[in-house]
Parts: sequence; C-alpha cells; structure tokens
Amino acid sequence: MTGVLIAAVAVPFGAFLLLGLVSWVDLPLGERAVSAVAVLSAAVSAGLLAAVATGGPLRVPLGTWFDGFPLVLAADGLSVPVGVLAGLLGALIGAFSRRYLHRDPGFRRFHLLLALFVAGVQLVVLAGTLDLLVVGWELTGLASALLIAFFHRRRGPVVHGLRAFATYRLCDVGLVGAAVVAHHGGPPLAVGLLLLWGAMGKAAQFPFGGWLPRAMEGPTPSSAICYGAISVSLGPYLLLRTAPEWSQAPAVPVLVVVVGGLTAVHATLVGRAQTDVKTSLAYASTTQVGLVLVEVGLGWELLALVHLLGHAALRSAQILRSPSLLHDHHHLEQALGEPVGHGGGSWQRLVPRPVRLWLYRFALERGYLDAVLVARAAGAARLVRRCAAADDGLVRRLAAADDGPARAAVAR
Amino acid sequence: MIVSTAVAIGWVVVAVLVGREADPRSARRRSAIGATAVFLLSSAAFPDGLVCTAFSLAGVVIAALSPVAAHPPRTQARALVLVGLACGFTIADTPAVHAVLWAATAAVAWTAARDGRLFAVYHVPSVLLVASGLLVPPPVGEVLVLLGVAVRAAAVPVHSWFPRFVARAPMGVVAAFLLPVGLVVPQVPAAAVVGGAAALLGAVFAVVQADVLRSLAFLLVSVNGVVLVGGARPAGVVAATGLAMTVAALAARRGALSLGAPSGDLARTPRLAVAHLGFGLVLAGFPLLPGFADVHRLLDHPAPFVVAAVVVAVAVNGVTVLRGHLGLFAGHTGETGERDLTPLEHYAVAVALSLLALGGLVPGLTGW
Repeated sequence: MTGVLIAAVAVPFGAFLLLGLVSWVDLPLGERAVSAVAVLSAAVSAGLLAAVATGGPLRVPLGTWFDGFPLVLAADGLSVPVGVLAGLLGALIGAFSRRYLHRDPGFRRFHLLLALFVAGVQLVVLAGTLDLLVVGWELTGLASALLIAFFHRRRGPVVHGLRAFATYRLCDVGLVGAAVVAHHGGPPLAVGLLLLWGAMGKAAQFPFGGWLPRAMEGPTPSSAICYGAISVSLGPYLLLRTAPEWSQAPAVPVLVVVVGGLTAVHATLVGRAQTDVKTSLAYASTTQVGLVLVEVGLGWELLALVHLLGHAALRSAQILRSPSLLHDHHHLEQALGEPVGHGGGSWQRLVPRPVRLWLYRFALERGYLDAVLVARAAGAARLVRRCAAADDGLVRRLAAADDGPARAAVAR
Repeated sequence: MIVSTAVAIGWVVVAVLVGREADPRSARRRSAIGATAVFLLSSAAFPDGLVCTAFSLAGVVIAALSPVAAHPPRTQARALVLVGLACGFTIADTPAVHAVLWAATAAVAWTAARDGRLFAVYHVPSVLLVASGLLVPPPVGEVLVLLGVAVRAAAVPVHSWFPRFVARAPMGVVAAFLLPVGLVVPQVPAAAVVGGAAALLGAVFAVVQADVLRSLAFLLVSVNGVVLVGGARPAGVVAATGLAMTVAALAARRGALSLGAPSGDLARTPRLAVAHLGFGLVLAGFPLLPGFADVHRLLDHPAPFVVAAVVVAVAVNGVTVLRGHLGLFAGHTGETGERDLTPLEHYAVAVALSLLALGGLVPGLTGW
C-alpha cells in the first residue's frame, strides 16, 4: 500500500514533468495525447487513492527529504475522500477542456498547470506533516494564479492572477509561521491563529476574499476545479486536518466560527446583487465555504466534510454549465411555458425600504471592503516608492560628478 | 584545494583569451566554451567543492547570456576574472587571502562601473573594513568585516549604490561581483539581525518598483540579506545570476524594461519566460526547488525576529517574481518580433535549470 500511496501523488506530478519537458523541447504532441496524459494521471491518482481506502487508515513515514524535513504521507477518512474527489474532478476537467480549449494556443500550458494543480492538491491532502503540506499548498497557489492569468494577452486576467497570488503569499506567512511555532513547541493559541490566517487566503474568507470573484477571469474549467471545488476547500481542509492542534485553545474555535459566519453573511448579501453568473457563483462558493468553517469551528467535523464534498461537486457542475446559462434559461422557460419567477419577494418585504436600499448599495459595492483594502495597499506602496525615490535622488547627486564629464563630451 | 586553484586559474586563462578577441560575438562563443570546460573541471571537486562548482555554473550562465552590445570582449573578460576570483575564495579559508581577493574583486568591478565615484565612495571603505576586520582579532574584527560585507551585500541603509550599479553597469559584472558575498560573512548574531532587516526591507522595496532593473536590484538586496543570515547558498548564487542575466538578455532585446507598460508575450518567448520564472522561484524559496531547503534551514534560527523577517521576505519575494514575470511576459496583444533564447543561451539556461530542479527534488544528489 505504501507504493500505491506514493504513486497517487507521483503520477500527476510525473504528468506535469512530462508535459513540462515536452513543452521545453517543443515536441509536436497533439491535443489528444496532451489531454490523455492530464486526464489519465488524475484518474489514476483517484483510483489509487480509492484502492488505498480499502486497506483502512495508513500512515507512511518515508524518511527525510533533507535535514529536518520528515516525509510522511497519511491516508485516512478525511484525506481519502477529498483526494479521490480531487482526482476525479481533475480528470473530468481535463476531459471537458479538450473540447473547450480546442485549438487554443495555450492548450498544452493549461493541461500542464492542471496536472501541477492536481499534484499539489494530492500532496496537501495526503501530507502527514505540516511542512509537507506547505509544499503542496504553494504548488496549488502557483498553479491557480497562473491559471487565472491563462489568457495572458488581456490585462484583466493578468492583474487578477497576480492579486490572487499576492493574497496567497500573504496568507502563506501564517501557514509557515504556524509550522515554525509548532516546531518550537509554541502555544496552541498562536498555532491556531496562524493556521486560521493561513486558511483564510485560500478559502477566500473575510476580509481576504476579494480575489475570488476576480479569479473567474480564468478559463471556465479551471474556475470550476479551483474556485468552485478544490482550491477554496483547502482552507477548511487545513483546519479539519489540524483540529487536534488548535482546538486546545478555546479562543480559536470561536474565531473560526466568527470568520466563517462573517464571510457567509457578507458573501450571500454581495452575491445577490452581482450581475454576471460567474461572480454570483464565486460569492455563492464563498458563502458555503464560510458555513463549512462555522461547522468546523463548532466541532461538527463529519458534517463539514460532507458539506465540503457535496458543495465541491455541485459548484463545479454549476460553473461548467455557466457559459450556457442563457441557453439553459430558455430551455427552462420553454419547459415551464412561462417566465421563471425570481422568488424571495416575501423576504424582501420584511425589510424596511431604506434598509433595503442601503443593503443593495452595500452589496453592489461588495461591502466597500475591496475599495478600502486596495486604497490602503496603494497608499503603503506609494509611501515605499517615495522613500526609494528620495534615496535615488540622493545617489544621483552623489554620482553627478561621474555624469558631468560624459555630458560635456556629448555637448562637444 | 588543488581543483579549486586549477579552476580559478582556468577562469583567468579563459578571460585572457576572451579579452584578446576583437569580435564580441566570437568572444562570447569562446567564453561559453571555456566556461563549460572550467565548469566540468570544477565538478571534479564535487561534492566537497560544491561552492566552487556553483560559482563555475554561474560563470557558464554569465558567459552565455551576456548581451554583446553591453559586453564587449574586455567587459566579458572582466566578468570572467571576477568569477575566477570568487572561486579563489574557496582555495584557502585564511583571512589574508580573503582580504586580498575582496579588494581585487572590488578593483575589477570598479573598472567596469560607469559611476566610478559613487562606487568608490561605498567600496573603498568596504575593502578597508574587511581587510582591517580580517586582521584584527574578534569580536571587533568580526564587526568590522560584517560592516564591510554589508556594503557589498547592499544591506539597507548602505544599499544606495546598488540599484544604480545594476541599472548602469554590465550585468555580467554585477552578477559576478556578488558571488563571494556569502563566503566572508562572520558568524556573529549581529549578521543575522542585519541580514533579516535587509531581507525584509529589500523585499518591500522590490515589490513596489515599476522599473524592472530597480525591482531586480532590491530583490537581490533581499536575497543578499538572507545570505547574511544563513551564509553562502550555492543554489541561490546560481539562481541570482540566472535571474540577473535573463533580465539582461531581455533588456538587450527590448531596451528599457517597465512593469507599467506590458511589452512581452510568453507564447512567443516561452523559454525566456520559463527561465525568468524558474530562476526567480528558486530565489523566492519555492518548494521542489533548492531555495526551499535553504529557507527551511533558516527557520530553526533562535532569534524570532530573524525568522519572522525571513518568512515575510520570502513570501513578498515570491510576489515580486510573479509580478515581474507577468509584467514582462503578459498583457501584450500585438506581434513583438522578439527572439526566444538563442542556442547558446538555451544551452546555459537548460543546464542551470535542470541542475537546480534536480537539486530541488533530490537535495542529497547535488548537495544543495
């Protein structure tokens, strides 16, 4: 079983290396072959994990990678279902993308990044130590950001890919910090707070969630697997996996519930006022992941896992169908024989009109949160740039004597 | 020691041969062939002479990626001499040898610097501090050496010469000049504090720059800060050289590089884009690349401030690298007409990146 468990991680990673090598030497590999490599690797990974599940929980120490870095893989009731779902969804998305991205110039790049993403997720899911989890965590972050920026000739996706990556790296400080504090035997409260910080970025929790609706600029299949299903689920997964560490500090579960609850309320309000389907689905995703976090904080781990898996399957299907929304809507209306009702009107009437208007503006502006955060970040960047410019001015004066003779020579 | 001496002499011989060439292109070709021969020679000392091998690999990258417009034969020769002198640091770990080589590297770089006065204002004191520090007994001597090394590592606040040096000096000389910084760092707690602060401030300055060369300069400041904390990092040296030379190769194709105006297309120059991202991610301590193990070792440092500074700096450096990658190779809609890596550049980048990737996956195999 040890070999099977290693292969579950190694196969998608091997697919990434193979596609990377093929791309580097520019071998003329057809779309069918590229797609087959990505799809089969993900499907084999899922199959291998399903096979591992038959043998009961498994914890495999594989020695050390380098000094102070133990390699441990763990397959249990938490990791196997998530790993199998990630593999199956990876295979599904690969098969879907073969037609969706047919003749796209970036076809090979997309499948390469998909293989890297699946490999990263399997590493996160099967990691038996926090250190190894960080490795997979970073790989999924990079693959996600590059998938968002997939349509690299448009400015929007590029800027949004960078924003997602910046959020990930900001929150990775929490995750790495948690690993360091845990190594040094620090208090569970500090470990818990840092883990929560680490999970908030990936799970797009309040107030770091602004990147998620923007991430929908990537190709629809990658949005489905990353932001509908697997990537956003890694935050709650991290907290589920590390619950024994942080649950010893009573304040951490309370904070987890507060963050999840705030996110759910904020995202459900904002999502209702959005005008495009992928943004609405992004906020719907955030809402559900926020609710899963509430369940995690309350200690309902089985419910959280079932909720997470169910949400991942449903949401990825919704995102995959989203480009055909109008088509589906017409079909529905034809079947009903009348326009589809909006629903929820009776709830709206319960709220006074001024409050309703304020809430609508609040939702339309996405809770003003993004504007405030972006303004703060831009202000800090301006300040640093001014310091650098002042320093540069000082150096220019110091170097003026060097430029003087050169300028005189040019003038002559 | 014998191999290191032969390697250092080999670099100087190659430099002399290259300096005699009249045509910069044939000089570069000869330089790359000579560099490969010396690199193969240096691998005879593996694994004990890992640092010398890494310097030689960095030398191969410098030789193959130096743009001919900014690197006439004499400039190429200077860069190769600097690589040879850096290898000289590994011959004998004695203060006198280090002091002489420290001064010699500064003198060679001075001849290639366009802002000679600015360079002298910073590096004459640096040479004097290191020389006197190596001769004075500790702890005073160690403090003096640290101050001298901090100047060359461009640790904030003695960094001001560096962004201008990166922007105006030939990049081959810049990269080769930085090679030996990690070998002279004294093992004192103050070095870690100075390094941690430099890593953090350099990272913050780098991530907000709009000019690519200034961003690269501050990124290298940050990386040098990490070197001050943890000493020489062979893989980091190769990656820093690779990133600097990739940017130089790109600047030779495009002229001024700005992140504000998108001007590249990764679909047209995929190898150049991958080289930039690959070397950058090694510098940013990304997993499965050798920089990760280097950073992981530093997390056991006893001072919490140093650990926190390194963790934040590495995270911010990752953002700087991806920002640079997307700014340089994305967002452009028209035909750029830009050439991807030439066969010579491709050879050096492929060798360096493969060894780095191998070192990241199996650290025991390559030793870094």
